[in-house]
Amino acid sequence: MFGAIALTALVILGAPLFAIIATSALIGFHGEEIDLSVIAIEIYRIADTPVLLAIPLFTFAGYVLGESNASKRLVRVTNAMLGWMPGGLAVVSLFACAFFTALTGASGATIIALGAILYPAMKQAGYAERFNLGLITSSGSLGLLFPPSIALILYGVIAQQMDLDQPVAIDDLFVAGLLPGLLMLALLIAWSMYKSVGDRIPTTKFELRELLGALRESIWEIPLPILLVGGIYGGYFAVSEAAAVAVFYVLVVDVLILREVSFKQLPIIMRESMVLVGGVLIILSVSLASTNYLIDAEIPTKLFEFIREHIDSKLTFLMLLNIFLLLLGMMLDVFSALVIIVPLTLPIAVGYGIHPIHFGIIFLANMQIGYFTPPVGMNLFIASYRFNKPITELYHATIPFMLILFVAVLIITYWPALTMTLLDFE
Amino acid sequence: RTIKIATLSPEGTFWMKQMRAGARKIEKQTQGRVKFKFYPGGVMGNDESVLRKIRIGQLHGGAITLGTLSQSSPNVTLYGLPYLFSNLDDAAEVRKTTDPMLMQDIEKNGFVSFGFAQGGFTYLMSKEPVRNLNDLRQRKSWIPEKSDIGLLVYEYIGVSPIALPLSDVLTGLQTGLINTIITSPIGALALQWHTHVRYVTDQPLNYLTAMLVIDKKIFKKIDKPDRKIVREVMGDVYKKIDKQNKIDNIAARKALINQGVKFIKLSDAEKTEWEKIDDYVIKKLIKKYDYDKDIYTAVTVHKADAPKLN
Amino acid sequence: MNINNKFIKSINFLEDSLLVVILSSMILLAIYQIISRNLFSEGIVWIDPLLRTLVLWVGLSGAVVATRTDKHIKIDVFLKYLPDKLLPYIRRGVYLFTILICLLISWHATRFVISEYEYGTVAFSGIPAWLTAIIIPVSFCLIAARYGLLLFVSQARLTMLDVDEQVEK
Ligand code: NA
Ligand code: NA
Repeated sequence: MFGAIALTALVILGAPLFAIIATSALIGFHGEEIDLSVIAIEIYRIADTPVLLAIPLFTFAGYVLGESNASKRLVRVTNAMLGWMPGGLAVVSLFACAFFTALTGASGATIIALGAILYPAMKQAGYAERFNLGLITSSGSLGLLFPPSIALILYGVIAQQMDLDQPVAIDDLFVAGLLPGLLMLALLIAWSMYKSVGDRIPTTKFELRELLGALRESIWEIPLPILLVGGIYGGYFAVSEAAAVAVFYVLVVDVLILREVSFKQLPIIMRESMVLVGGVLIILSVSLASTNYLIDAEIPTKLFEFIREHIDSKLTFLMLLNIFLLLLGMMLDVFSALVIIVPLTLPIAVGYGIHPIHFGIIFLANMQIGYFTPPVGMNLFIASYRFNKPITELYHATIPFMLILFVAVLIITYWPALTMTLLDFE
Repeated sequence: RTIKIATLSPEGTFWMKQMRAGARKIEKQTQGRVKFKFYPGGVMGNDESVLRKIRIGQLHGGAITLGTLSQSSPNVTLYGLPYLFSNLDDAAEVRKTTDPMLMQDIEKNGFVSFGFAQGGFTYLMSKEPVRNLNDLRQRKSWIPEKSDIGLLVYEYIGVSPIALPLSDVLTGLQTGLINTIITSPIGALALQWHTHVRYVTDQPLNYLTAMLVIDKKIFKKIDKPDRKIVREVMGDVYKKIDKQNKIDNIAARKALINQGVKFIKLSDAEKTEWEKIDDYVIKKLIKKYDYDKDIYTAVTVHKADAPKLN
Repeated sequence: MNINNKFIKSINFLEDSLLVVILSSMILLAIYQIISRNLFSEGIVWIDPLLRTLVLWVGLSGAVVATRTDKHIKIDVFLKYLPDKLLPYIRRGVYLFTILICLLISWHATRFVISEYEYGTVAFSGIPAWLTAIIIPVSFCLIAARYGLLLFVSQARLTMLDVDEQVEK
């Protein structure tokens, strides 16, 4: 108790977050009489996690793009293509973030890497600061439901081990996630359009000549997403290698072909981007330790046992589940949450007649919001760091997005047909 | 005394159900003096992490694959020698004498073990048939990281396999980044890799085993009569798991066949060619690990042409 | 304590160069892996585990450099409600707390590295685990040292240093 008060005081006094998380882990382990070198064992697990490679590589690529005039060109192309439509650039940003998160997981790489190009672009196009921040931060976990999301694969593997009557094929999960994921996108798009009308972001008439000109100018940037998708689905490289390809491509284009970034600048960009990565990774690494303490002390399990006592119908189960998963999404990373909580909750869900595939989508949709739920959603801190904004401003900025996505989660939860319909067509 | 055990196997599996049942039985029979706490699903990290946490006392034991213990007890890698057993029954028969020998060896090196659970044989599974070594040379093969034997097999045939994290294998198979994998039928089904392979080369490569180990220092702190109860109950649990795993393996093989996966028999001439590989691999492993002569002889008893220990 | 002295400057240069070298080798290794697989159908098994190790190294080294001008993620919105007079004391108090925690982590990480050395764990392809893990105690020790230097720097000077770094690029 005393420890909790002291830590809160330190948070308020502006102590570095990594030190506070590490302290909470150390206090917890000390209380359980566990050798404190466990914190180093947990930090070392960073070197066992393949998905993290995307963070430094994509961040660097994003920084190089940020130094070039790519964001200017991006604004021009989207204006030429979608300028007639309110919120055109916001829509493009949403799709880009969802695509990118499906590739990299919700580890924050989206915010750091795409933020470097989308944030200035939205600013140039006249979007309000707060809307801009909210969109990028909340989109950092958008895409968990789209293939080839590793979270979906992991859910499938866990569910299959559980001897359920209904099969849970990973391919089916990929299909099932499409409409719920698109619903989330659609609601956010509607909100973006509404906001951009309200904020009087100017719309322009569509002109073919301007579009062709803009396309010609961006001739080198447009192939990048195509290269990544084509390379992965063509079997040239793995999802985990996409980041390296992006770095290579961006370097060739911006340093050798367009020459907007000079060789001399590269070490400085590397240093700047890796300082950012360091600030994020040191927090991720000590979070591994604090998560491990929670797991060791079986706190998520106990929390769920407590909730289970209040379940008496499918409806209360689903409602408590929504709240529980939101809390969990703030505390744990999506992988630990899946492994610990799915085995506890899935049998109950199946008992209430919820299809395991539907349950998986509910689970991940909830976790996705947890990533930027105040006060401690991890992506809030990452965005605060990336854009050099106080954390409270990010709370304000993300709340509308959180509420919208929460509506989407409710629809996904209580309307199973949305998840299951596409499966019937297979 | 609460014994904290970590495992990669997820909650709800036969393995976890049996372990929990065994734990309840022990708790009852020791009147609550010995309890178990389980951390399933790999939440404590991979096998190396688990061993580290046993070392510092955060965990007291773990269900781990044998290779992980090779550092302290090199003999445990013997079951993994290539083409050691021709089928599951053959393995069962040899294991009758060698399981106790290995358990003793493990205990000498600081861990108490309660028996082995088989994971079946690994096979080459591929999109295009692999009928001979030349076929294999032309495939894009994936092997699990840290697979000594997989590496040596490919070293022998002179091609480099493709290294990918586990999470990339399914999409890798789907996109054609890889088209040949080494895995067991159970593993292929569990990770859904089976949906992207069409052929299995019907030559068992190596025999997979896992076991439950508990730190000997912790185990010794349990009263002697209670220790006996733990040994008996967990020993039974492991026999049950081992037996069920054999049934599951046979079922998994059938499931693959039912899915339309074709099992390719090697010709006798080819078999002789492949036997040269196991000679090569075993000789390399003998050099790497300091095998105990008695255990080595007992494990290779059905393999008349096994290389000799010096 | 003069932060601009030659010794500190050369340490800064070393740290910055380390970041550049690690990141450059990550890019080259990752690209080489893809090229060699597609052109020569060869994979190199040690590249993947090495890359993962380098993620740890680049992250922790980056965290050390981030400490130079106190750029770690923190929640500082409440500070503006506190009297200005107190701020320098609060800042140093927070630094002291952070130094203690980093030294504690560094100490236990050293014990971890020694234990890995004694048990002879192999990280990958014959590379010992202690060597790949040694960045943990070293980086936390350096972070503590960096915060130690910041104890003697005023807020005004810190802001200037940050500006200096911006100008340098
Ligand atoms: Na992301
Ligand atoms: Na989280």
